[in-house]
Amino acid sequence: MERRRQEFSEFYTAFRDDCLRIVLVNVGDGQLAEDLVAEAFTRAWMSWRKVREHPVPRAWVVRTALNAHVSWWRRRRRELTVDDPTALCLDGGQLERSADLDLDEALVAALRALPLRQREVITLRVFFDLDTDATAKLLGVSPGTVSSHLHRAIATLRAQTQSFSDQEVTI
Amino acid sequence: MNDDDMLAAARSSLTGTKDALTHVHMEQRPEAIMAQARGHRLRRGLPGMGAAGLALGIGLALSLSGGHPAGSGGSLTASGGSGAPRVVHVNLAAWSVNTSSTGVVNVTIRELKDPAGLSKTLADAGVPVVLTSGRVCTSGDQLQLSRVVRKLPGQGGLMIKINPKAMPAGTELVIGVGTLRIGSQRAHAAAFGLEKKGSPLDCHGKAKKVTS
Repeated sequence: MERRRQEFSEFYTAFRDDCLRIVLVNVGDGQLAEDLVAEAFTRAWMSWRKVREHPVPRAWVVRTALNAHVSWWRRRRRELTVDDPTALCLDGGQLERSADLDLDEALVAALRALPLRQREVITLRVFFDLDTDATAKLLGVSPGTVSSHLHRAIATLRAQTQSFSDQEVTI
Repeated sequence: MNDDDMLAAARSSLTGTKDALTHVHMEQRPEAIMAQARGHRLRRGLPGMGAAGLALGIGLALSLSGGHPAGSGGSLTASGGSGAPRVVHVNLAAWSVNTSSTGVVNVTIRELKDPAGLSKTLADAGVPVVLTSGRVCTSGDQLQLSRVVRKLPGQGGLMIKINPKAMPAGTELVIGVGTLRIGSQRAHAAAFGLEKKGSPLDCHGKAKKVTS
C-alpha cells in the first residue's frame, strides 16, 4: 500500500501542473480547471491499479477532467468564466472586427466551442501527441471514429479561426 | 491548408498557449487528493468505486459564490487601497458590493450601470479599481493577480471575490466586464489586471475605460 501511495504521489507531483494547464486551456477558468483536475486525480487514485497500467496515465487524467466538465457545463451552460485574460476579447461597444486577434486566441476560443468528443480527440492528439490508434484505445472507440472526429474538429477549427473576426462580443 | 497542416498549426499554437501558463500551478498536495478519495469512498460506502462526486466538489466551490456578505463586521486594511477602507454593504439591482469580516470584498455585477458608483464603492471597500469594457487588459504578474481576485462560477451575474490585502501598494485592479458571444453562446465574462496606479492601461487593442 505504501509503495502504491508513493507511486501515485510521484505521478501526481510530476504531472499535476501540466494536466491543470491543459484543462485550463480547454475550459478557461482557473478555479474550475483546478477542481476538475483534482477530481480527475482523485478518481485516478481510486482506480490506481488500472490507471497505473494505462499507456499514458496523464492523458487518462485529462480526459477524465474534460468528461467531468461536461456534466458541470450542462448544469451551468449560461455561465462562462475566464481567468486567462489573453484568451478572449471583450468589447464594450459594437461588434469588434477583431482581425487583429491572433491565431492563438482564435484557436483557443474555437477549441472550447468544440463538442466534447472532438475536443478530446484534439487534446489527445495535440497535447499528448497520441496517434489515431492510441487515441482510439483511450477513448474506447474505433480508429475510424477518431479520424472522423478529428476531421470534423479540424474543419471547425479552420472555419472558426477564419471567421473569428465575425464573432460579436458585447457588453 | 490541409488537415495535417491545420493539426500542426493547432499543435504549435495550443501547446504554446499551454506552455505560457507557467504561473498556473496545482496547489493541492498528493495527500489531499488521496484524502479526498477516502472521502468519496466513505460517502459511497463502496471501496474502490471509480465514479466520484464532481457535483459535490463543484457545489462546494459554488457555495462560496453567494454574492452576499459573509459577515457584517470587521475592518479592512488594504495596502493598495485609497484611504482607509471601511465596511461596505451596497446592494443595488445592477450590482452589489459587500465586505466580509475577513476583509474579502464580494462583488456581484449583474449589469454595468453606474460604473462610477461601483468604482467609488469598491474604493471605499479598499479596492482601487479601474473598470473597463473593451479589450482585455493583462497584468504582468498573474501569480499575484490570482491572490487578489477570483471570479466565481455562478448564475445571475459576475461574482468576484477580491482580497484587497493581497494588492501590492500603489496598484489598482483593472476589471474588464462584458458578455462574451461565441457563435450562439452568450455568457457573462470578466478579465482582470493588476496595474500600477495611474499608469496607462496595458491592453490588447482598444480598451474602453469607463471609470478611473
